[in-house]
Amino acid sequence: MNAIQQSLSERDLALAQIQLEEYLRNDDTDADTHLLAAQTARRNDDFPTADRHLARYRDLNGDKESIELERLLRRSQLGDLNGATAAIQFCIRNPDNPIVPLMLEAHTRGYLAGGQPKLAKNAADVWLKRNPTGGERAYALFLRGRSHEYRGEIPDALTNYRESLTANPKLRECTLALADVLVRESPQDALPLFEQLQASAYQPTEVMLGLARCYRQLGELERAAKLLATLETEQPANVAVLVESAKLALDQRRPADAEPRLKRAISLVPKHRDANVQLARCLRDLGRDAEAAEQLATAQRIDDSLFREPPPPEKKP
Amino acid sequence: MIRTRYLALGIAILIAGGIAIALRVPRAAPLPAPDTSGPDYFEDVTATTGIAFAYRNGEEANLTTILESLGGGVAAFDYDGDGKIDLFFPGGGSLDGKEIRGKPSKLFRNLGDGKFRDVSVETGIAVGPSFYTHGVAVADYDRDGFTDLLVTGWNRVCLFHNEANPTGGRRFVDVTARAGLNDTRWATSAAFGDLDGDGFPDLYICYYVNWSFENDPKCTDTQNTPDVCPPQKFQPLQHRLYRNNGDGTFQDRTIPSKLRPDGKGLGAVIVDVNADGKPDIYIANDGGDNFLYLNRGGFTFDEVGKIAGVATDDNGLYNGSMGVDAADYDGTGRPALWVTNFQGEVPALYRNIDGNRFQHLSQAAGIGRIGRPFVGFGTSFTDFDHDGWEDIFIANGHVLLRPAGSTYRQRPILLRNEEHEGRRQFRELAGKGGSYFRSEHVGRGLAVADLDNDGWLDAIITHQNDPVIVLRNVAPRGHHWLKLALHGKNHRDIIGTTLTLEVNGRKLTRFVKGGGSYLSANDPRIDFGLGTSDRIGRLSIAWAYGVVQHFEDMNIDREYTIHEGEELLHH
Repeated sequence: MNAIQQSLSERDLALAQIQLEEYLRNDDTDADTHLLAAQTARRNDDFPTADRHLARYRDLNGDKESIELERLLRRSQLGDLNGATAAIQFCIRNPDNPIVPLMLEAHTRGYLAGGQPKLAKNAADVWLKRNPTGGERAYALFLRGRSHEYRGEIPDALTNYRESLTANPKLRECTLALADVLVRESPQDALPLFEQLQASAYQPTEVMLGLARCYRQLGELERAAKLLATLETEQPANVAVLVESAKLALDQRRPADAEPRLKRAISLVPKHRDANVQLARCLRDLGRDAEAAEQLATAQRIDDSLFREPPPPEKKP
Repeated sequence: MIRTRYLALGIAILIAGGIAIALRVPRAAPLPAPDTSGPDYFEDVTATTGIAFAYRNGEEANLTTILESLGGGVAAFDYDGDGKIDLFFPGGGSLDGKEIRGKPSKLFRNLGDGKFRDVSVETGIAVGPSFYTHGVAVADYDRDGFTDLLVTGWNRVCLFHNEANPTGGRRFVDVTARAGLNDTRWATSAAFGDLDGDGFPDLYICYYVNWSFENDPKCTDTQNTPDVCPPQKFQPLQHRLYRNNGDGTFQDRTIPSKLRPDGKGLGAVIVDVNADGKPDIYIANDGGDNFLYLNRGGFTFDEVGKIAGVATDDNGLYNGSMGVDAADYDGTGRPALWVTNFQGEVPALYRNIDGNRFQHLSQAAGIGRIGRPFVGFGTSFTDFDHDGWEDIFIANGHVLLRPAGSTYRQRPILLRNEEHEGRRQFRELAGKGGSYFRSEHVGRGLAVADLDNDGWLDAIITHQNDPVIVLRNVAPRGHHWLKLALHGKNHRDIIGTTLTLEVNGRKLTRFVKGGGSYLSANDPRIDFGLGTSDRIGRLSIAWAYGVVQHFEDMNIDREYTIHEGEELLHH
């Protein structure tokens, strides 16, 4: 159990899940550990596993209030924020309650998922006022950085990401967030972060894509091409990969190779801004000026709608 | 100097596409120190030149107005016809309560021994109209054989006619009112060029925003400390295009030429981008699309920036653009366009595909390697090592006193044109540029000029409230060069002329340009780096609105004066 606590304190949820499964294989009747496994799986976005452990916890006569709270935290984490204000007030009034960190984590993530980064930052601030340490502090800072990033407050985001990694250098999702932000601003600084993540086999698709972007920013198109060729083979319907491959083709002055990728991306996500903008560039490079002008107008309409409409719910941090 | 919109759109993109591509992402850490290894390419010789001058922006009033952010330029031109490049500096100004005052501009005469002498008083520059100045453009607007000066600034411009001084030498006389250049708004960069083929240089003037003390919102940084407002707080001012009537006056052709009304203009270059013999106009705007006006003849223009691919960056986003230049950096024979931009944006290199379409290729050309903490202003394509490939010089410096994620003072950048992965790319020389490049400045204007007539291009940089710096080119001398001073027939303007030189199997192409850089004017002579080749092939000059002239049997490491339609003159 110490090893499990160690993994949880470092927020290595994947490892903690493995350790919990192993522990419960030896003692499937430990209700509290099933609840912990359900929480851990939910926090790691592994909802089928979370459901399985929560059901087992119920079968073992687990506390009904705990089951209900865990269901509430799951809904909150996914952006259903009914009762969120009351929950945050509870956390403010009861800072020493052991459930508070879990509640604040779920609600901060929920605010981000619900496209409310300002409220997410407020929740992270409540969390940080408890003076958490180690991995908990690192994660609170990471989520605070995310809320800044989503609000376009990039210097603050970078500061929080760096503070987070100081508190927990192993928080790879924060390393990836930092690298993703740096990839355009300072690709030379992003490169070692991506290489570090690649060496740890963390989220290989995102990291390979980030590395490819990094190489393209650095003008190393051949290295980017190798990575993207692999990604395209493995994930032919990944819009981000298609668009990045198309950008690379445009940089390599191969617009004819970019066009089918961009059209495929648009067929998958018709209002994908970047794909539509790049298609306009591509058609211009191909000398099809009338089509390029029409595509430019389409891209402009998408831009206009992005400014007109409130942002949609965000992906999970 | 765009800020707010860029952030918002970046977030929108992030949300829509899940791809962090367009965020302005300043660095929290100090700017990285450059590598200091390798030979110097430029030596700071300011102290020995006798040029002691600093542009003043009025910061001592602590008003943090946007007026103070632009700075001043420099013009490198031979005002007295002695074959040596002289230097003119707008003086800037001061803010006293609600009053905006001008500081004297300066003209330094090149004495030829590495020394300059302040001739502002004897040439009349010192007694010209006093106003808060920024930029300078040069041309022989009346075709009398001597280069005249246009000075821009807040709420006016001043056209100085270069004429014989009754007491000897030359003098500059304010002819602004007589010329009809009476616009009383905030003028920044300007560029001359003969746009209709009548031989007289016409004039494009960029105007910025509708700031005044009556429209002076207060802005703060993230720590709630007063700082300069972004241009988004203001409305753009209509730029002006003037036709030279050939009689010393100009006619405002802004409306019939269908100039766009929405640019916050800071940079202008006039160059023939599509090889039709007629010079075109490219404008860098701060926080809006950049403009490309293709010259259709008869003083008519089509603004094609968007469809040509030079209005925005590779993400379809407009940038905060300041400085501009144009050159054939990759041996295509066509001028690529180059733009310096705000923090969080990459300087834009637009490769010229066919004269009508361009590709934003900054990343492919390795420009992205420098990162995005910089705010770039004065800039120039310059083959400073004479290897036959155009390199790039950028003067950097922030506009915000306390910028989030960056610094007010920034190092300048030299980018060397090299081949990597089979294509032309740029790599920062870092410390190899010399001591100036190892320190941080608030750079603004930049001009390149062969000040000592040794064939190698030197550089002059202006700064906010800090002294002008003169850099002598001391690049390793293993390469050869050819320099050309071109003169149109009967002193006609030759902006838009294209030169092609055959060297060792390559064709080097150079362009006669109007404007360029930021608020500044370069040495008008054409510079060819020849690499290690000790033989020169045929030189072809496609004169703007004229015929193509060919020259053979030229020698290396020489300057030639070429008069349109005439044989070579050997110096």
